[in-house]
Amino acid sequence: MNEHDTALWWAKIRSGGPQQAPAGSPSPAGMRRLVEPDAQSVWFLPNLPPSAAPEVLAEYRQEPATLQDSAGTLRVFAACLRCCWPDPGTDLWPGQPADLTDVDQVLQQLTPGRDRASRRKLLSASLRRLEASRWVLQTADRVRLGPRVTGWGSLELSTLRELWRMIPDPQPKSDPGGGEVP
Amino acid sequence: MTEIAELPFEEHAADSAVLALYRQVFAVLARDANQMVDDPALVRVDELILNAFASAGPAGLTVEQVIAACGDTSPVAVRRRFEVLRSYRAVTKVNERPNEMFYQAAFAPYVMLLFLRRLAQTGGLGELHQMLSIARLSIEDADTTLEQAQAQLQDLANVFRLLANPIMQMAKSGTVESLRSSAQPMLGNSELIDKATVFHNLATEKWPQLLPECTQLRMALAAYRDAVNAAARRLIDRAGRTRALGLLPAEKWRSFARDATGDELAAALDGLLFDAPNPHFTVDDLLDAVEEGLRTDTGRTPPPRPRIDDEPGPEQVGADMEAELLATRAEELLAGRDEVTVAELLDTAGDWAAGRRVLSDLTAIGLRPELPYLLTWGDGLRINVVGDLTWVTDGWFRRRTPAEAPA
Repeated sequence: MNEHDTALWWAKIRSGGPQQAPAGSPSPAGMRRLVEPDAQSVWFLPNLPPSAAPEVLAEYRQEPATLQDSAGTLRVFAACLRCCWPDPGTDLWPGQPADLTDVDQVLQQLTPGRDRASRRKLLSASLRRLEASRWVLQTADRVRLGPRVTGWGSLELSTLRELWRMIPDPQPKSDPGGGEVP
Repeated sequence: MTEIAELPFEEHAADSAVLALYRQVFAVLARDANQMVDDPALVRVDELILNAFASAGPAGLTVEQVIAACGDTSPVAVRRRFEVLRSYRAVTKVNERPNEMFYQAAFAPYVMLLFLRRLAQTGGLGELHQMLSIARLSIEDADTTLEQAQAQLQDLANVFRLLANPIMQMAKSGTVESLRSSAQPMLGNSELIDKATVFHNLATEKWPQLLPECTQLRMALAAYRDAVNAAARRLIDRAGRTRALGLLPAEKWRSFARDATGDELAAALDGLLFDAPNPHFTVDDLLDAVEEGLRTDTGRTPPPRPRIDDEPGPEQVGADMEAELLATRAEELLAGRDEVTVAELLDTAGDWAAGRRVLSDLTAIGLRPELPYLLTWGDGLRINVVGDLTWVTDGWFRRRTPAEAPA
């Protein structure tokens, strides 16, 4: 891979987020390579030092990119995390695909006081927003975690594990142990 | 405009002649007897008719020949315009006799048409320059009379007033958009003002007795200068710090963004690369959102809705509870008796505040037909001047017998 291709990849990632490429393609310099579970394709993510990551915005007290209904979207994302990450002892990526009905059940716990229709609306709208920035990936009626989740460091992962324990189980009766999704 | 039209036709001094010319001139604009043309196609038809006459030679043309000369224009339109021109005497019979078929055209309408075209294209400022030059030359001319100079001064004063008024109006209350589009051709004419001032100075030197007219012109010039300055100031204010008057206003950008197709919009961004405005979630954000969601267990209370299902609403439950309370209170007050006077109850209660409470309870119980108690009032009155309760109406509170039960 020459300099020109590397620059092109960086430009693609800066303008379009994480990029997917066929499995055999070489890694551009400075990119993290995430292999899909079926090993058919890879994701390229920038390996940014902490001083250049999006968190810098908060340090400089700049407004982050605005997100519609950010609280609701975050709750949907938390529900996805709970369902797609069956064992918090393992790595976040690639996780497991989860049924939307399970995600909806968890979301019901996280957003009390919403009726079914408005919850479905929140779910589909938020999933669309999350998928646009590759926080989750969506297929038919399944959802799984996107490549962006690997940006979290080990410190954040421990917080995430606590969070995971806080969120109620999607199927408390049938599968009390770990919420493993087939 | 009339004064401009008069210049080459000074021989038509008499009022009637001026009127006739004026009507000829405006024939090209009149659609039918009283209306002006608002359709450019009609002006084109007029032009075609006049062209046909110009190439016809001295013999003139018949109506049919004119229609034929106008080519593919609809014969109905040509005939209609021809009638209008004839009614205004812009087109006349070659010989004034009953069965004359040949017509000829006057030249003034065509001149006016050309003139109006030029005015529309240049805004008339060029003509104004020419008028000012002619006026100055005429002052230096020894033949010019006092009356002619007076008329010229008045005309020019009127021209400048007419010029200044719309600019001032736009500068004061028009939208910036209209000011920008229509006032710009009128601006930047210091040369015009200079010329007029020179003319004014010459006139005052040569004819001191024309001072009133000169003053009028001077005032009109000052008004024009003020208007131009005000308009320029407003434009510059709106242009902001860049002072770039050529920059498109924000309204233009907005309307472009609304009307453009997707491809046009995309073309504007060709070659530009943006950072993805993707949201970044920190784990703390996630934690906050989830905790907040878990904490608000009750959620929102739904807005009140009409109850159409069978289960009893909360207000009915509350009503029953209140009835129970009232029933126990009634039993307390009766204390095992079947009937008790209100006066007695009030005396037991003691002071005024407690008595009032007893009274309100009694009324509430009495107003509920489903409770087996009755409160009846009599006409008597017990008066006790020294006591807490100075007067008490006769009243009885008693258990209702089953025979008295409401239907």
